[in-house]
Amino acid sequence: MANKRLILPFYEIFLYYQTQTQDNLYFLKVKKLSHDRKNCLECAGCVGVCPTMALDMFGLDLQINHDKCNRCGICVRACPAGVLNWIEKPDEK
Amino acid sequence: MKNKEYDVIVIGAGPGGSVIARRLSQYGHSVLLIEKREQIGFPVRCGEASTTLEDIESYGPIDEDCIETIIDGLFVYGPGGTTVESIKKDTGIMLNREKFDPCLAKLAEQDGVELVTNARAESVSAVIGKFREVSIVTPQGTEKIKGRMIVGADGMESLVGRMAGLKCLHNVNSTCTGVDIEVEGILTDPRYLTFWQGHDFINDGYIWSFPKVKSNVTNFGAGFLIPKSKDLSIQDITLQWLYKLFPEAKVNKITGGLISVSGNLKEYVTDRLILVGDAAHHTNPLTGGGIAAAMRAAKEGAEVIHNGLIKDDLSKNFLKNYEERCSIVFGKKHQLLLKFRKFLLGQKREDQIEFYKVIKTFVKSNFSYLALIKCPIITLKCLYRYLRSSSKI
Repeated sequence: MANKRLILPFYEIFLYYQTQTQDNLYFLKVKKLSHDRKNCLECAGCVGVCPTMALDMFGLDLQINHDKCNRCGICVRACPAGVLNWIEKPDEK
Repeated sequence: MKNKEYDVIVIGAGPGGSVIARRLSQYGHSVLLIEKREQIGFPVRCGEASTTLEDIESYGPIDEDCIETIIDGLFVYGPGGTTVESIKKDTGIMLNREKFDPCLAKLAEQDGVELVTNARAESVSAVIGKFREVSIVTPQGTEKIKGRMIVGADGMESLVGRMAGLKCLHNVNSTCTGVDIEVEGILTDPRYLTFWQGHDFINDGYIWSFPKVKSNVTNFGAGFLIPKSKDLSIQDITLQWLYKLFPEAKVNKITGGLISVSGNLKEYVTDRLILVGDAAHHTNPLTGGGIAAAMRAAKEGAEVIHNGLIKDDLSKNFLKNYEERCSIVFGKKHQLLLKFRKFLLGQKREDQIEFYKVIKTFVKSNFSYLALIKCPIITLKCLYRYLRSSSKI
């Protein structure tokens, strides 16, 4: 009995992590950052707050490195003009 | 770029970058100043209020056009209808950053700095011998330039520090996001900077209205800590407040930006590299202003680098000098202001109103502590709350 009690929480944690990573994979596949150039204020704030250095800005051109992006969403929250958003179905290129 | 090798490469031609480049050039070193934008100072990402005229002019002769207004005081609308009015001659000035930044860069150029715009620093290498290599991207192509010393003055979105391995990522909980709207005409008293703060307006930050008299426009804006979740964009919130406070306002243009308000970074020097200004989080954690601190840091930085270049010692240990100097000049003050901000924003509405009343009496009596005897109970209450909150941090 003692063994079972010991194992059970670990198994639960394992299950939890599995779903989490699966969710994550789903998220990585489906969600993609998009940038609305028309209303962008060119402040480059998103570049500064990005923890993975996935963003870089050349004038109005925001370059998003989708491989580096970990979908933390900080830039979406921080953007003063609200021009960064998630799009659901990314076009496969 | 004319040469392949420079004593100092300064990345970013804002106030901090231009001042440090100019000073180092005056000391006789070869300096390259690069700016990624085509036009220096454009677009502006600033509320444009700054320190006294005297302080600004100590960095060089500045065109009269750059200075919009001489500010003689502050007016703060607090919660619960309390207002604080502080009148003090020459508290500060309003700048025109579109003219001010190019003016500083031009002064630097006149003193022998090589200025290249439309040039972006793509990467900064590790120390190779006595150099660091910066690969600079221009429309003509990529060039690798060697610099004995690199200065990262590339502002809030600084990547230079991160490329060199400094821990300068912005903490989301202590970064401000703001929008500045240029409105036609003067909305508030042209002598004052006007603020709206507290639970009745925006508690995580403040709303501002800064008059630019010469151009006959007002900088109206709002800035606050990055929200946990977001339904409305910050731009929309600011516009809502603008039309609520001034229904007939006419918007000229909108700019925005992020400000780090975490207090100075713990470490912003490494071998042959320092950070200056917003890149090193040299911003006032209470107001978010950073022009004065950046220019002051640049002044200190130039002296330290000059000494280092003469002694041929640009190691991290030697450059720590710069950190220490900055800490003495404004770092400690910023730490105090950070504590104060955390206290002010952490208050409940009723407590905040009491606090504003204490501040009002204090300011009205020309900053004499004796006046606080008139309202001893709430003063003691506020003091107790402040001590409790600052001991927590």
